[in-house]
Amino acid sequence: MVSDEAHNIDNVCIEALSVDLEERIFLSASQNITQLDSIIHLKKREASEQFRAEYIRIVSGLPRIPILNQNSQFSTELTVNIDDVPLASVTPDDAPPESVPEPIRKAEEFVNFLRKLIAFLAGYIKTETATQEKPIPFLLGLASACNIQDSNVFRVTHSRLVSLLSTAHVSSWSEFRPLLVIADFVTTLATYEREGMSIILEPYNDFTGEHEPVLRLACLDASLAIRWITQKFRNVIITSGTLSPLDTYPRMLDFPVVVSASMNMSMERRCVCPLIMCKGADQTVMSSKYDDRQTEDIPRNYGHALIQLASNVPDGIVAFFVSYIFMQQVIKCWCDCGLLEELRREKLLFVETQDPTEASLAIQNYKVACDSGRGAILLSVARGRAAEGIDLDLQYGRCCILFGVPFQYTESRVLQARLRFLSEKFQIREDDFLIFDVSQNISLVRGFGFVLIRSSTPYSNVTVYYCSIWIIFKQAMRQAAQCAGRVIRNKNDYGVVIFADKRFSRAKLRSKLPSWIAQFLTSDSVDLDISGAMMHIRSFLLQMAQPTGQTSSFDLRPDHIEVEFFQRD
Amino acid sequence: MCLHARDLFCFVLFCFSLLPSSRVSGSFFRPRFSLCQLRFLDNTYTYRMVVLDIDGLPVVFPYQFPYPEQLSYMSHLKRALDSGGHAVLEMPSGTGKTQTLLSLITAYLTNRISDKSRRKFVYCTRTVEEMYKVLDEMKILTAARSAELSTPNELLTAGLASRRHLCIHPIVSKMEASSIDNGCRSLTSSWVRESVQQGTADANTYCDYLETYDREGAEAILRPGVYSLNDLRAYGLRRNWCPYFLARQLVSVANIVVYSYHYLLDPKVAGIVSTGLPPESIIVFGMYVSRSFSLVLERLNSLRICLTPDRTNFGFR
Repeated sequence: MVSDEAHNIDNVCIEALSVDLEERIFLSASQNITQLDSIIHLKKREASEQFRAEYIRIVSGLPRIPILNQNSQFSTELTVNIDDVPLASVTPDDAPPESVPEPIRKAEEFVNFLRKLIAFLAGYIKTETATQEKPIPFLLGLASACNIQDSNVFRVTHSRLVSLLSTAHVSSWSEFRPLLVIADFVTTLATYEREGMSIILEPYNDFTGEHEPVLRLACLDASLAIRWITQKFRNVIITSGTLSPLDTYPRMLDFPVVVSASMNMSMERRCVCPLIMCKGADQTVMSSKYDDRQTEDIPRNYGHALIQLASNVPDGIVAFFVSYIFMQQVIKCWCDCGLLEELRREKLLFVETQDPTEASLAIQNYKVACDSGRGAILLSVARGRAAEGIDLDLQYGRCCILFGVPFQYTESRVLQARLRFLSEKFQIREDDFLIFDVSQNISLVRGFGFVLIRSSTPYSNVTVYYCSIWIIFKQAMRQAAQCAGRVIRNKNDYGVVIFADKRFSRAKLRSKLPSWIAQFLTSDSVDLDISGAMMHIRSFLLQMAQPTGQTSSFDLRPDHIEVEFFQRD
Repeated sequence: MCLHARDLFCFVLFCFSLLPSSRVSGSFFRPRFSLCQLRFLDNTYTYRMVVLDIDGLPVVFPYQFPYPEQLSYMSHLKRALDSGGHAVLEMPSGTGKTQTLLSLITAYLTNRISDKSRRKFVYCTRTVEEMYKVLDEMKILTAARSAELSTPNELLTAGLASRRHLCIHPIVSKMEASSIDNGCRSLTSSWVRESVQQGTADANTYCDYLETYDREGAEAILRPGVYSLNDLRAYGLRRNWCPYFLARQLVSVANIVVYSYHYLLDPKVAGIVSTGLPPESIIVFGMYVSRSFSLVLERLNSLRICLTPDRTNFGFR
């Protein structure tokens, strides 16, 4: 699942230089080899001079197909055939190796080399244990398996393959994709053997637990792909809605900046009301901490809070739980002590389940219920499937409450390797990066398989909680985060956000909130109990429900001025 | 050009209200309102814009009231451009970041860089949809500029996307998205073209659009304006030119290029597409283009139809 906003620049850089090899790719690559072999034999009989010409070209030091020269206009040598075909993974400014080394000059020899290469990699992947290796030892093993002494062989493998394919007049590159991917793997590895690269073998799928070995060439250093850009061009400007903390990008991408600034959004009125609710009606501390979960106090207090909200807030309320398991646990408890009945008397209740169709139906009906005017409650999960796509603006999300802190924990070796690398090379601390990264990019978290709850891990410190908040903001507070333009600019929209967990009130965590939220988070809206929070909510909603008058300068842009303007004209 | 007393008064109020909150020093801007009318078919659209003064740089901004953060953004951006260094700028989505950026950089290119061939600005977007939006914004800006400044637009803006977005070949473009590249290559590979030229292969196996473009395209000079992907396709159909290779060539010719991140960051592609960019280029990585268009834009929706490049001088008064 890749969310739309998620691809950001450092990930693009990393993806550009990372290659994943799954087990089945070797099978299709072997088939490619057989196919290629037969094509070569066939063609050799027909047009041996082509191969001789290629050999001469290669020996004379032109391993790469001539690159389309941007400055000269289209000449007769229109190199259309190479366009989207990946060339060797070297940055454009890197000089290509002088010439193709001896062992792979001849087509048959090269095919033999590829065969050995695939055999080695296919054997390597069979291992049952997860391993992580640095490029150089891995390359040494590869070289001895393929009987290669010269490391340049690996560096030109990809361009040699591309050259061979075009000599053999193969126009359907996608058929040879598996082979090209493997060549790309080897060439990228050899090109960046000394820099932030790592070879990671993951024998088991993180999610399913099945034996699906993947050999990853993981690029750990995002600056590799962007370096030539920041060095060559005069001005490089990176701009986005969410870049905080601002110094992380320049450090991670390793380039100097002259200006780094964060513009705040000007708002016409206080349209977001963030509250941190820490205590229940009986003054029990609210928390979704794993140890406390088994007691009934926490779910009961959450239930009371929700009932109170339901009676005070018009329109829709969205409640987010930290996980499906926790949600089930809480709902069961509510059911046992009759809170569910009470809740249903206030508003209609919808539950998002793990089944996508069921969940989307629930959300659809939730919206219908909200439209009817009475409002409704949607019980959802912070990183649930459906929470991602819904727009909780206007009446659909007048209030959103987050029960607990969704812990994040990663077992992803790629991410761990990257965290280590960042702290060694750029002195970016793990938690700094996690904050940065999660606030930037939810898809990375999804893609790399963060798993819920593991309070004994090195990441389960305060800053990680913050990551989670960001996710909530991104997903639940769509009206406040990504879609700020649509909603906050809209004078008629406003919303309450409640963080119902003691741990949210810690200063370290609060200080890192995005400024447009933090500006509304006053000291009296922190550390509230249920009744205190309700007081805030009531006054906020009352205030917001007033018709908007011309109170601020921003109201000078309504349409009536324009009408006058028109008439005069 | 038209000024109204009340409007001016309002704006003065507005400016005063900005002062305490803005931390940017120096003269902020001297606003100048203008009102122009666009005539399209039988309807007249009224289009409002403002000319801002950002540290001495006159910037045409195609919306009537800039937000304070937009002004501060422009000011920071200009500082970065002046000093010739890199910048990291954050501004919440939905505050009109794209238009702010385009307005300032366009003004900068035309006013501060006298050598026309060195006016180069590359805007990298993440998706093709974003590219469409950026190019739409650019069309509005170009229309506003040529209405306001009374000097003809000199900048050529073009988008570049992969073959599957640009191909107009009657058979290849109907193929599945994944096989368009292969389909194109099977018609345009150098050996296919060679054998057709030598008469050894069937003439139907090559792409007429590419051949025509190869013959005529090299000398062609496109009129300045904004060429979105749709415009390129339409233009290709009219001239019988291959829009993809036209766009590829435009990367080196155009003043403003909008394309995907990958054309710069992926070394496999960058080596082919982007090495020719001059070092003076301004590169912008836009992270996220808000989906919400401002109301003004929505009102101008119908107007956008007529802002095609070859009609840039349409019905402005």
